Amino acid sequence: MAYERRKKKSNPVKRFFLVATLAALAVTAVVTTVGRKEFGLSHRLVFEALGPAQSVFARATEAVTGLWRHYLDLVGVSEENDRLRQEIKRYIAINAEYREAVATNVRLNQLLDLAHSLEQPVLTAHVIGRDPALWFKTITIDKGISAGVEKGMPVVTVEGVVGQVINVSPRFAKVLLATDPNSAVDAILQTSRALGIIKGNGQGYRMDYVLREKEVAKDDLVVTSGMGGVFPKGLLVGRISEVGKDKRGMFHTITVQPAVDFRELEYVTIILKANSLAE
Amino acid sequence: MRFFIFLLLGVLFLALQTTVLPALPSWMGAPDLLFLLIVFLAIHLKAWPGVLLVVLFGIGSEVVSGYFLGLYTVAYLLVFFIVKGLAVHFDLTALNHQPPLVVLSYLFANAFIYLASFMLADENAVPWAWGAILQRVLILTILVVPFSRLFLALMVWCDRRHRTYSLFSRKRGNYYKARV
Repeated sequence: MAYERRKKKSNPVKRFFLVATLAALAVTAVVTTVGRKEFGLSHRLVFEALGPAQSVFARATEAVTGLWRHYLDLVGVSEENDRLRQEIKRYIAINAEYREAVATNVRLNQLLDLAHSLEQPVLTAHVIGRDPALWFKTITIDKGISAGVEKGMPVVTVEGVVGQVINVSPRFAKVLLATDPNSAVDAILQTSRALGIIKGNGQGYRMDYVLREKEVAKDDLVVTSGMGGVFPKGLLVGRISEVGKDKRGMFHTITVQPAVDFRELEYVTIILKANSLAE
Repeated sequence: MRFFIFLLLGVLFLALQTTVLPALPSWMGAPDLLFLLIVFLAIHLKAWPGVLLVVLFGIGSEVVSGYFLGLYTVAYLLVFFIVKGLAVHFDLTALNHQPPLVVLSYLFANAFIYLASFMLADENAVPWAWGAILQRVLILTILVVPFSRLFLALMVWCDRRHRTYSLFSRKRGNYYKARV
């Protein structure tokens, strides 16, 4: 009897239709996401689940690299005095921790100065993840919707422009770096006042649409023009590293060295909207 | 049991790849450990749990990497089904088959992601970087055998624990009572 009941349950036709329906739903769900830019529910859930793990690993990595950097600094000093070597070794760890704290303090102070210099409200966030892929340049930060972060908000540091928020979840956000090929920032040359658009090329920037009649020279500073309505006017973007010698075409071919060292990013400042939650 | 262990391992790899590994010196590259796990799952795991894990890993990769959504999930699913299809005809469990398999599937997945992003925004394409990709392929080739052994050992351990638990559960109640 029990065997018959069990047999009834596993009707192969019903099972086939169930599996086929589930498969069709799954394929539809996956295919419809291709090319989208907005996070759906599944992406937000995974982002929220992955964020804490990234946060833990990011802090651990910073601690280890900080210790290693300061250990290297102190190797030369320890060689000068053999008598103090043992003592130095004992204090390396403590010293490194203090130095790290001071460095963090300095960075946060600089960010605070930056916050005072901007008109809009700002928010400081910790970088907890970096894009591992070769083709994209993004970072993950530990502030999200609950802190007032919204899609499209500009992200900067004291050195200059970093990028723009592209996806948000309640506690985390993804930032498209200005070096990503999909990024574009309206910019102006500080000396000649020539307008153009800064596009990422993976490693640095190129500045497009600068008319050939405008004076452009190596080492000219590039700042945000404020025209796109995303970045405030006057933020440093970078410095011209190369001007193309090609005489054809309407525009200059300009390569720009970013003002920000994207490999060393630890804290960033998000420029919020005037009516933002975090104000 | 296998499912949850591999899910945890995937989350750990994703967290490592976005935090610890980018901090390594550039000559060490950034090994794509998650990709090694996906190829292993395609060879050793049944289709349904494998597909579910691969989709979750794809979504996980998308939230921490890239601009367009869906590319990683589709690339990983394609790799999963191609390797699964190959596994029907060839003995891919042999360790000496793993390096070429991982190299080819990694190149395929990267080419797919690159071409798909190029098609979605052709004016924003970054040049294909042979040097960087070959460096990553080389690193994966070195890592594939030790990591396959590790995954295999983990799978055997999971199965053993599962068997022990099922033996215990079978003994519940009056085990020796005659069944009608």
